[in-house]
Amino acid sequence: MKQRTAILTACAISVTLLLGVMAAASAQTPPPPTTPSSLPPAPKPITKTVATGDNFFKPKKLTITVGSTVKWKNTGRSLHNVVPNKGKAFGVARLSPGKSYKYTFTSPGKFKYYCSFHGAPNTGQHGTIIVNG
Amino acid sequence: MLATKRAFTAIATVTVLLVASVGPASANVARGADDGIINVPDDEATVQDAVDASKPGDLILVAPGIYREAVTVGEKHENIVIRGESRAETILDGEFREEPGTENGFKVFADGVAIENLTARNFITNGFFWTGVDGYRGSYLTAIRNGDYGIYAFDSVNGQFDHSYASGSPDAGFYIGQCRPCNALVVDVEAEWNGLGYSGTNASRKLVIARSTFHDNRGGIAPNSLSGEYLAPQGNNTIVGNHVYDNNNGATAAISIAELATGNGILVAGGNANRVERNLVTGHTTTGIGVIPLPERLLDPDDPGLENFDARENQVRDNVTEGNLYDLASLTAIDDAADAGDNCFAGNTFTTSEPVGIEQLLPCGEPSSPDYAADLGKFAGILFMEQPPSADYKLVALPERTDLPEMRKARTAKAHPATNEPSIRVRVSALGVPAR
Repeated sequence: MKQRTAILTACAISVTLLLGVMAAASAQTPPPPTTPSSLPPAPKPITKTVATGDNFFKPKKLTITVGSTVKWKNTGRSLHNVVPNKGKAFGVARLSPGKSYKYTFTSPGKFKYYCSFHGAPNTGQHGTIIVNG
Repeated sequence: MLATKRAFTAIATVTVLLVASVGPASANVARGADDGIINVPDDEATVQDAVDASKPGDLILVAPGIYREAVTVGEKHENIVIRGESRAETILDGEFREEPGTENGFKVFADGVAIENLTARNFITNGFFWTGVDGYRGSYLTAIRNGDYGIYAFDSVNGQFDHSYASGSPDAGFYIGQCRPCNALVVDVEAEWNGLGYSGTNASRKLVIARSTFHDNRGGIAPNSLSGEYLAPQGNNTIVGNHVYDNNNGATAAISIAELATGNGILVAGGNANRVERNLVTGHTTTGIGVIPLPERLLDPDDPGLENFDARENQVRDNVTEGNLYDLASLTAIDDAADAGDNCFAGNTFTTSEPVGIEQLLPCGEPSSPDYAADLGKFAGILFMEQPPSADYKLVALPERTDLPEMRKARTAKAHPATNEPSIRVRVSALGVPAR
């Protein structure tokens, strides 16, 4: 616990210092003209894993960028599945222990889902993928 | 916003009352809403319709018949009782359907729901399933040939399973998982022809399994720790006064961990501080009562998320255990044969043990003997012993049971939602070894 407190304190100090430096820089110099070359690079699409355990999704809420892939891996010993609350854009009817299912999200939005064996929309074993554009 | 909602509710209520007083809908009010009893199929055609129409305190009384439906009890329908008029003849049949929403006989997300006196069979997941609830009870239930568990409470507290029966599940007939403190009671139940009679993964504290019968499963009673669920390790169960016999049944369906448990009566697998007392345990091809580690990582070294769970501080006292290959057995940790782990054995009636002289080596109330050493090679041999492969749970020929007791006065008994469970009071200290 002490170590966690120390880490949190260090993080808070770092963030405070960083914000202070940014504020000072902002006050002293006018912002440079925006050119395409100075825009921050778009986040790279990546693959993130949702552990599909007995009976939970971890993380329960996952935020990704458009083009990223989510991999649901059954880390439990029971059969699970992935069923979207609405529509059938993604999902898998049966995900046996040890098996994985992947889906690449190509449009932004909030995608809620559940395991129909052990949950229902918004209750029991359920989760959310937030896809930012 | 709240005021608007209340005003809308008031208007809606008045409207409903007016409609009810003048038209055919008045029959709806008279037929069940007022007395708190909803009859299926007279008042509502299906059990699900009745649940959806229920309010807290209601009794849903289901007439004999075969109902080809799966029932979900949503969070809003708390404190209801669902009761069959006949345990043997009020049957939910899943017909092994696989569409989402059809997998469980009953899937309960609401607190305080009791289900009584009916049968759930042929569901691809569970017969009866409570999850994430505070308050649950399953009484006089029969679960047959369901693809995962028979009667199951997960991530739930303050519950009871009583006078119920489960057969034909590849995992456990009865299962309570991921709770601490569970405050739960399993009493007067029977499980046969399952992978395990009872399994309790990461279910700890104030959990009593008593006065029940577990026989002809692959394994009998197995409290255990696993990393696949939260709240590991398991601990502090009381297993008392049960009759556990002949759990060597290689003809059942079984998941892999149940296959490993074949031939064991009561197996504390990677659990801590459990009390196993005054049980009658006979006729097992491996151990009668075993206290062993659950070496997940050893079984699957490629998965970095797994742990090897030790078994520590368990007490095995005053049981009668005979006719097993090893009547009693103890091994604390997979990596240290000499670690006694503060497990203790005393007052048991037995003949064989592993190691030999187990009560002298691991006595209760005094330090373990420095001579204690388990046989790791023997344990590994048992662990990796080839077992008969799982049968298809849909096809296993199960015993036909016509002797399971009906709930008394099922048609007229008052509804008692599961708001004060466990409601059966068991004096653990008064329970003796069952008669043969």
